[in-house]
Amino acid sequence: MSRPPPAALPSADLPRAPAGLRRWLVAGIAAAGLAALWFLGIRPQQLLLEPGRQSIFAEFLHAALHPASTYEAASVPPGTPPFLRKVALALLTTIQYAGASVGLALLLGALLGFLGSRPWWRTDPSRDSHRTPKHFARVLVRGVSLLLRSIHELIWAILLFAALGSSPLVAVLAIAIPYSGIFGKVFAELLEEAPTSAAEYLSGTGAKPVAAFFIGILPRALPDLLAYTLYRLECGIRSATVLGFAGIPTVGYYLKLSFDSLHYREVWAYLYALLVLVLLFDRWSAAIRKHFHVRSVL
Amino acid sequence: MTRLSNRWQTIRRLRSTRPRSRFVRVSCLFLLLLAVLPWFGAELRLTEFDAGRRLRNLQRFAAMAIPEPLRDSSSPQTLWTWFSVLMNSHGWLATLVTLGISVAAIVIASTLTAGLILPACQTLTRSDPFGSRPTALRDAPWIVLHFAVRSLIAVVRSIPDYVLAFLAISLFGLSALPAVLALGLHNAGILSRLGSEIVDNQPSAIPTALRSAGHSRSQILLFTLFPLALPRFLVFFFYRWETCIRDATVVGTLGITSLGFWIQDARARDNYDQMLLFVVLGSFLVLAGDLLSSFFRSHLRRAL
Repeated sequence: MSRPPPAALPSADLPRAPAGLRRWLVAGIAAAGLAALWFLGIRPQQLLLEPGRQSIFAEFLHAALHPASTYEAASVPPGTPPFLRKVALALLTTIQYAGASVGLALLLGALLGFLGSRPWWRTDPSRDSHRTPKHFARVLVRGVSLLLRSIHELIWAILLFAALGSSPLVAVLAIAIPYSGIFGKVFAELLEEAPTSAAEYLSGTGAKPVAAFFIGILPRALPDLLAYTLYRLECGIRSATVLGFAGIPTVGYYLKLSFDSLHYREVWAYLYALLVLVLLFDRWSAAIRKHFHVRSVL
Repeated sequence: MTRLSNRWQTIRRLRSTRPRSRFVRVSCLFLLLLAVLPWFGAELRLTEFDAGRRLRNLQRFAAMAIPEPLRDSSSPQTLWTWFSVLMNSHGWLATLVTLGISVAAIVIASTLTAGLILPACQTLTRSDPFGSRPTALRDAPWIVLHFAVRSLIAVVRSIPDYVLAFLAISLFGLSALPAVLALGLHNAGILSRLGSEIVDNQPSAIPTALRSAGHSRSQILLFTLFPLALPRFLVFFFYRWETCIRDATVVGTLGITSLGFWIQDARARDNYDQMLLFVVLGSFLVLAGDLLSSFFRSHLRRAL
């Protein structure tokens, strides 16, 4: 929503959580971190490299300055496309997987988000009754989106590949399922934060709840939803890359192949290409956020 | 009748004067194309999706996903012994390792963020922050530092954490440290960007006043900007921790003995019942983290 940037000074009489809570929280987090490091048996000297690894590491870093523009292998099978073309094709495939999965997740996630938000059920948070069917339905939808997003897309891929056999469509599903859960959660929260004045006015003049939602609430939340969708698309590119490690021919797949053949300059070419792609999408969504004065999204 | 047509005219006039932006329209169109075109491309191979074969595959999977004692009545184990044998052999340990990696990663990320936040903030990277001295020339090194740190943040944020973990584990050898560092670095990038936006968006009245009273840059950051930003930063911290739990499961597929390792191991042995158990354990861990973090977040939101 076109919120004005926060300008007001935090006044002294605003309700604030006691500083004690924050102090204990920060101390507790630090203690938990130390305990975790101790439990995992982490010692800084693990980062010291054995001589054998040192040369590999040096070679890898050296390759960063000289990313490949042709294949590193002495000979490639006839009919192989030129290297840079292969990089471009890998990026294109990554975009296709990201676009298809985020598009599919958007359909399902918007449904979950609408049904999981208070304005859809017209429940007023100030007089929230916990025993009504409406409340139950909303909590149920929220629970479904929580379950969908509690499993990482790569685990979904392993699970679905086992259940259905591997195929590009199954890979798209593996990203789309957790993403619809995330869309469901975030869209519901954004819809609940949208200003309600127009919806209240519509309801007051006798509009049906559905009309009040789609005409009063949704348009005012739309910039936020658009900004978040663009951010998810950027995440989708990362997820599609990661699914490359499960055999889908995205950038991640070729990156792993090149790394395993010790072709570090090719690895860096793929990394730089991926970086440029992600940063382009990042700039795009930043421009949209700036246009609508939307705060940064998680 | 005239009143009605007047209304239509008003509505038309409002419609014609509504804010419009070609950039937003083109963006929406582009988004639509990105979501729709792949379905007609060759890569998804929709025509080769043999639904009958997939269904048979699914039936086979469903039969094998039932825990062994329930599937096979002659099995020597009861459901409880099946469960406790699996949990005691590696279930509990893998769950703890997953939790440990997520906590270590997010704490390392926050520690790195503490160091990166000052140069990442636009308002602080001036030779005279919040001051009035015109110092364009002396700003230059600060702006270079700001740009360098911002680029570093953008890079570690853009490369997927799983890819960072793959590279780190391959280069440094298989142990928890490279995995934790990779997750920590990626999340440090995200937290630094969000954190610096919080600091940059804070009202400048208090720091300006302190500056004119002679406080230094780091004093302003430590004693004014940081305490003001802390509640919101902690909200982000918990959001990212939830993601870290999921990612800690997944780095197991690179050889770290978190839940992902045993999921992949069970998959390789076609023990789908065991695989599902570990997936559910990971899911429970995320649900528990979600509950804990939404508890803290709701407390912290009151402090925003």
